[in-house]
Amino acid sequence: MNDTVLRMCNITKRFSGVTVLDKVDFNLKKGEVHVLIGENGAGKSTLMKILAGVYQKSEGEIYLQDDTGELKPVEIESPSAALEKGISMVFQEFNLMENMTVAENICIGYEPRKGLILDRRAIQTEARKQLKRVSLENVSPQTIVGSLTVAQKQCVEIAKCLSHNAKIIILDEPTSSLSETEVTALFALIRALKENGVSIVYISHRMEEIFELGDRITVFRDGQMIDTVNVSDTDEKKLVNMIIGREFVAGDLSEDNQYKEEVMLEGKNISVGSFGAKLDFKAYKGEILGIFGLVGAGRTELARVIFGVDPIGEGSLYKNGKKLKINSPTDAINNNIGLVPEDRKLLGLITKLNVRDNLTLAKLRDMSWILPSRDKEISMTADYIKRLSIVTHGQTQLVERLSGGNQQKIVISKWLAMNLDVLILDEPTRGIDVGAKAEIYNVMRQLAREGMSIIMISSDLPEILKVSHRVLVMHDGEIKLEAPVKALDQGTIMHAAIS
Amino acid sequence: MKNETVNNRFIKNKAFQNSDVMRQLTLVLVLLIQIVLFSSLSDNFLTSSNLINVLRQVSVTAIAAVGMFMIILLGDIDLSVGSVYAFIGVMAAVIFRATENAVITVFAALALGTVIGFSSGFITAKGKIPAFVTTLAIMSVCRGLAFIITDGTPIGVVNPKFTWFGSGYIFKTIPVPIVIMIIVFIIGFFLINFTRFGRYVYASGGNEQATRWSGIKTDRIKILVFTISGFLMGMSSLILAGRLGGGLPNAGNGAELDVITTVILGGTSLTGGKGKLWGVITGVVVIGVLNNGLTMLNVSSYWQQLVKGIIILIAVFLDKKASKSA
Repeated sequence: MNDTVLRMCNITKRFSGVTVLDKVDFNLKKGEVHVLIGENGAGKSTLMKILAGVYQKSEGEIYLQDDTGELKPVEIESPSAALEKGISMVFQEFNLMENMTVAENICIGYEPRKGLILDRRAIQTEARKQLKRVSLENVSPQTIVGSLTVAQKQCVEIAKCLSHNAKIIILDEPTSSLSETEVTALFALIRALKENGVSIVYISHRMEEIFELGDRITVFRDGQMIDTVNVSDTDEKKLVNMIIGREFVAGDLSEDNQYKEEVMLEGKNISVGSFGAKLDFKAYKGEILGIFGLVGAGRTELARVIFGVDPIGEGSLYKNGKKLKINSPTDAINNNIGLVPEDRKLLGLITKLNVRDNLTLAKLRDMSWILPSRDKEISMTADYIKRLSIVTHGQTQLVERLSGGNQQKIVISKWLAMNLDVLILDEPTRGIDVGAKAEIYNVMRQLAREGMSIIMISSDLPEILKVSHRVLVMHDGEIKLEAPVKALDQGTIMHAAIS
Repeated sequence: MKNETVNNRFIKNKAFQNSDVMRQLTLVLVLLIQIVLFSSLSDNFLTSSNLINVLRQVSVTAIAAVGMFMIILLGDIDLSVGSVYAFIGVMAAVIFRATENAVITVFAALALGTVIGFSSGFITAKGKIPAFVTTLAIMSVCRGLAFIITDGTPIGVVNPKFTWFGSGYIFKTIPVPIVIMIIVFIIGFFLINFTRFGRYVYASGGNEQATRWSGIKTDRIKILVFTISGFLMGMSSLILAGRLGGGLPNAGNGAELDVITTVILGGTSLTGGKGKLWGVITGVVVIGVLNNGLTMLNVSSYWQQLVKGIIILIAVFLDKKASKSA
């Protein structure tokens, strides 16, 4: 029985001479959910972008099943060529025109026409048909996409794929910004698609999903395909070992619970965002304070107030008992407070500049107005690249070409140079692979041991439990719970975060 | 083993840096083609007096281009250049006629340019208004003032003390504008590449918010850049007024486009954060040689405009190709 719909052989991809994919093989069966997994920068997204026509392969062959069921060699020169061949990719950031309607988005690129004029009715009908297939009947095709939720946008993207008669749909980390119920709905949709013979390539970092949804798994590491296995033949531990290529030691950071009962940062009467409530909190010297809450609970807003981005209002901040005056990030940094923002590309990095310039940017303020000698900058950068094992092609590599995990390490390193007292990390491990996560936890732990106060904002409950010494749970701009992590369990925390 | 692959990649990565070099090489190639072409068509082109002439002709644009370069690095733009030339030129002529004192005139002109630049920067940064809009307004204000003060008629000044800036010589051989241009480029080069300020300009242009979140007062950087640019426009205005022999209310019409053209031709990204002052120098020379060569060949100025446009398109296109294939 030949049920292979796609075979990619010996695919190699080089960017400006740098090999990012090295002779990779991949095959996809009809109606399967095939999970691609690997650390960031391992090559899985690149392979899929080649399949979707976004990138061109440097070497290798692609075979696609034609109508007669035979595998025929094909060239995929462009995204539109991929669509014609029944291959659609749903990108993490989506590809929707926010200002246009759902119907216009679904039919974009091949709008039904009467002569030269758009056939509006046919567009509506097509949109309605596809929306129904993704169980989005309650959304009118006339809705402006910008007003939809993230989950709805995703369904519109999938509807768009279906409208193109996609036989292969590639989903790139589709659940990274969805709530639990939305994930359940998405999984139901994926299963339905599978029943209809659509093959799904599913890129993900989340173990639970892989075992719940996947049929087969292909593991990538350092631009190479490590292996393809059946989900039923493997387990989490085996997979993690394949991904990182070494035995993974899960460190329980809460074990060294040696923070001092000495207050580093204290907030009194602080109101955040548009929430009315007044917040009081304390962060101790040498502790990792985990702030948990759901999206929209006011955690990022609190960080913004502490860092001087938003006004503090009537409230006040004290560090080592001294009242602080913070009106800008500059003031915060003058008081040795740093922030690793949630959106690293937008707020944490200058992606057009290279690794070295990014690492030394904040530190320059402590130096004279003439730049330090290049050698000094180089050795400083080399130190941090080594300390956080940042994988880069060199100090002059542009940051935009690094993987997410390495970008995040650069944002953190930037602050390590500053001798801070307080470091706030907002969702420090979002979208980051297992190996980099462990390294970031280690750095946090080490900094805390050196006496720094670490405030970690996270929506990842296991992470909160694993890393924090104390936990603070927020909901609707209020602090609902504050306790040492040892006194807490998942249920208690979740309960506080919801109610 | 991991280290090996990192090293290996590092070596290959040289290709990345080469894309910058490729940009410059493309421009230099364009320049060489121009020189070969013009010198074979005109005997007078490759003479030292003509080449000095080229440099003198580009000096006004080149000096302002250093300021514009920094503004474009920030991802902003300044449309007021030409009108500022006219306004400061007129003011300089008026002040010189009243005082007969070159020093006072120079100080006043530079101060005026600095104040105009500061205003553009301050309004743009503090009012969070696009520089495009701010400088459009400043452009109109300055042109208006130039006409109001002169009532539309040029103010001629023939005193060599005044025209020295535009047509004087140092040691009787080197034209003053060229000396000023070289000094400005050297200082600009130092400022942009070797100071904290220069690094902050790149950072701010690359991502203003992230730069502010790194503790840098980006508003100040922006105001400072516009102020420096204003000072340099004052300098250019003096040279232009000196060359024209007085203050002309319609002087420098469209000069901002010449300045912006040289900066972009030099490979500076309009979205900010990317570009090299070297490129601006090459851009200045390419445009200067083009204008001069076409004039020597008696090509009418109408045709010159057209050719300039095509050259810009070709250069930018080649540049895109080069940076892609690198």
